[in-house]
Amino acid sequence: MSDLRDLYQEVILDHTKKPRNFHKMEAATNSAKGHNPLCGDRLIVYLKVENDTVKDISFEGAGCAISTASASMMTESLKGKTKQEAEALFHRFHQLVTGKPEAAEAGPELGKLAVFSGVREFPVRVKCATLSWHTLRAALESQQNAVSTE
Amino acid sequence: MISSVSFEKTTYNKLPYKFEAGTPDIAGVVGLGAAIEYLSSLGMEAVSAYEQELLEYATKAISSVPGVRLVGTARRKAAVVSFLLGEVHPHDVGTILDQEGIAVRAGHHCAQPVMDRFGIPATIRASLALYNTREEIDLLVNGLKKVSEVFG
Repeated sequence: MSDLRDLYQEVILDHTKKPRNFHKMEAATNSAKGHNPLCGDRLIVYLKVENDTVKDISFEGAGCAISTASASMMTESLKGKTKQEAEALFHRFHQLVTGKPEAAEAGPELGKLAVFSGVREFPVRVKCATLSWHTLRAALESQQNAVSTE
Repeated sequence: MISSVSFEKTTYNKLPYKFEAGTPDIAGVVGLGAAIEYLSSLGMEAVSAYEQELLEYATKAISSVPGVRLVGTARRKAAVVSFLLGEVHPHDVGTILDQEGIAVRAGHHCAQPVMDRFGIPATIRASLALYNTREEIDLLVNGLKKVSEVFG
């Protein structure tokens, strides 16, 4: 049960029930689709990038609690970040949820995103937590094909 | 399978051997034989009757959990129960049940058109067989209550 509580922390459940920045963005400069066909999770990440900085970010789609909360919290943590900072945060987050030992070392501050550390005890759920982040990366690079973490 | 091979020419064996690649699945065949013997000794009708009894019990027990919506309620069906639990995504239900030692299948079951027909992304599916018991169905129901606790 303690592992479960680590996975489904209050903050995560809150973002699942009330996802932030959950809407389409008409004036987006970049966007990308993410789709995990095996589990059915699907989302679109929208960005407004100006001077290499993420001025605005939003998402829409449907997925499990982990993928929805991850996307929601990602949007909160990325506003105002440069592309480079976003890329660094992607790697840091990836290390956190895959439980790589270097995750404890240097890198940008994860802040609230640290609540996803429980995911490392559930390897099959890593793809849920990282879908939005891979989609973000595709949006930054303006990739046309849908990305997947399966 | 070949009959002979040289650098100049390959001659395949005659039918049906030419379509037999490598070692056949001997262990699989022996295993299937043992399974058929076991099921025959029980009697397929008895197996089916037991599974239907489990299905009836499971359908009632699972339906009694608040928030459950059954998907697939044909009068005659195999011993599987597909359902949803409130707004909780089936994969989250699956993870929590797994922690309780209960194995279910969660997802669209490679049947996306049916999911679209019901307007749902996925279901939780419990598949019952002759080796399952009523006690295990009770554990499943308790597991579902745990899911509702976690998701409050």
